[in-house]
Amino acid sequence: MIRAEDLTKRYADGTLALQGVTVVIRPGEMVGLLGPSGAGKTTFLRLLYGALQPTAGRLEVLGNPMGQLSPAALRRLRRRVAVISQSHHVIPNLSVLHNVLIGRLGHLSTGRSLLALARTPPEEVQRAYRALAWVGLAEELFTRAEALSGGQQQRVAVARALVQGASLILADEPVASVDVRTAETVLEVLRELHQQGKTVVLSLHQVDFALAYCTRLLGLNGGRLVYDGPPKEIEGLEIYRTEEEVRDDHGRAPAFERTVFEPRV
Amino acid sequence: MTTGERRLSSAPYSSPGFSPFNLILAGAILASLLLSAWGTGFSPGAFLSPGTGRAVREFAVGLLPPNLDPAYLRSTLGYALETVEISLLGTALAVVVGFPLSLLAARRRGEETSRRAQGTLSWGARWLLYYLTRGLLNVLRGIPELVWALIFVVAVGLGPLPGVLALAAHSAGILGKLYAELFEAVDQRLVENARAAGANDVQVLAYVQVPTALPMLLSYTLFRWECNMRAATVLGFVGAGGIGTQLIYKLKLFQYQDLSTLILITLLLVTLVDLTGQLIRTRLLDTAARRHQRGKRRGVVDRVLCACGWK
Repeated sequence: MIRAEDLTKRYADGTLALQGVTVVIRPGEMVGLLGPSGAGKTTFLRLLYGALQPTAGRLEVLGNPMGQLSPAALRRLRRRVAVISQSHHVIPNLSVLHNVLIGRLGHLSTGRSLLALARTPPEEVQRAYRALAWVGLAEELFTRAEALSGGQQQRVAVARALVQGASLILADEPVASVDVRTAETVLEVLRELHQQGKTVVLSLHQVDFALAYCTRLLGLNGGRLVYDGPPKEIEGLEIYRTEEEVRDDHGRAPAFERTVFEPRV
Repeated sequence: MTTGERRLSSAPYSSPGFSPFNLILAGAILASLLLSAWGTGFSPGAFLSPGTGRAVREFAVGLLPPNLDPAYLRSTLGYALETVEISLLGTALAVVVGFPLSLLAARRRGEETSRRAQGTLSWGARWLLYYLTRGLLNVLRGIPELVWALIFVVAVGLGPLPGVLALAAHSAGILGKLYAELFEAVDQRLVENARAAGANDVQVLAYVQVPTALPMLLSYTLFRWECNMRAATVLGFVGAGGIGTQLIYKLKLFQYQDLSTLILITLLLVTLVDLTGQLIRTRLLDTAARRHQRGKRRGVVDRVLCACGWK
């Protein structure tokens, strides 16, 4: 499913975000990425869906050599790869329906997708409705996304990934800035997808979530792969983070207490 | 402890004081003002010379009272209406031309639009198109409306048509650039998310960039209409229709009472359009904020826009 060999990413400003990562992720795994801020989790995921080009090494996703794909081939691949990001995932001025529809854009022709803004085809509405019902937002189909709470917006992002019908789901900190209930809803949905045979790769702040939900953990630190194995054995490892590191971009303290932040100094 | 407090305690307060650079700058500004006065032959005495005073007095007395003859008022209102029509059509045409140009003039960001990802040929073609479009927009924008009007009067003859075309040409340059900047300013992460779902450029535009930038797009377009309204009042000076045609006739024929009616109507019109535009623009930009407070309650406008798919 995913095969990375000596994968290295250096940004234009010289930052070495990922160095020599070699890993194989097989179909049907639920892989958790752990590591402090700046460890390379987001870089790894963005490489997987082709938003970034690898600097060195090889990366294959669903058999496609990343970094060597034509734009058309990349778009074809992306139909089969769904992405959920931590925030900035909904278009505030669009209805929830149209936000979810964004997940279908890879499947719809340009003309049909433009028409869908004016009149969404019934089968697409059905699909969106089912996905929203799954994440508990069925009633919000025609609400403007702007009017939703942060947790609801995150679930819209999950619904958008669901309608894509992808076989690989990538989630970058999907529960970092939401309440516990939303976090559990999101993770339960991901687990169900995993149980249906989909492959899930997600990065997480919270070690206990990773232990509860993932079948395999990858530990990243300073752009290097420092751990690769089953969840059980990670306990003794120093990838727990201090409270300082758990604070999000806006300097807020973690949203809930389940976050593990015992400093192991 | 906030960062502010930390900064205060660690950095002692120091007054900016005089720097030689500031002195040179002040000197340069003063010098350029004096030079301009000398170059244009301006002197404060001009206001006080008896000749000027007499001329101003005669002109001012000539303006009063304004010609309020109903028949004349009616014909003036007709010209005023034509002016509004010119501004409306000119703005609409500018949108029609400027919008497609803005798509080519908006840079795409992200590594997947890099030369390596796109292939040298399509990457090069895209940038060539970008610079050509930006160049075209600069030319359109760089030539003032009045000069465009002169050009179009020669090209298509006298009347309102060259006025419409002149406004359209200049505004297309401005709107094209503004739209492009607005599309570029849309949060790149939203764009990347849609692209990650397999969306192509047109789909990203329709589902992400336009909806996100819509309030600003409408606001800028309305503002452009207000500017065009003001510009349309003087297009007639070069024979491009509207109330300006009458203004320049009456001025040249020394019919000052008719002229003051025209000036009053123009003032009224421009004020009215400004107020209307401002009202709508404020509403547009406030709507988002107010809607946020009201939660999910939606008004008629929201429902219409929602039906159109923009909300």
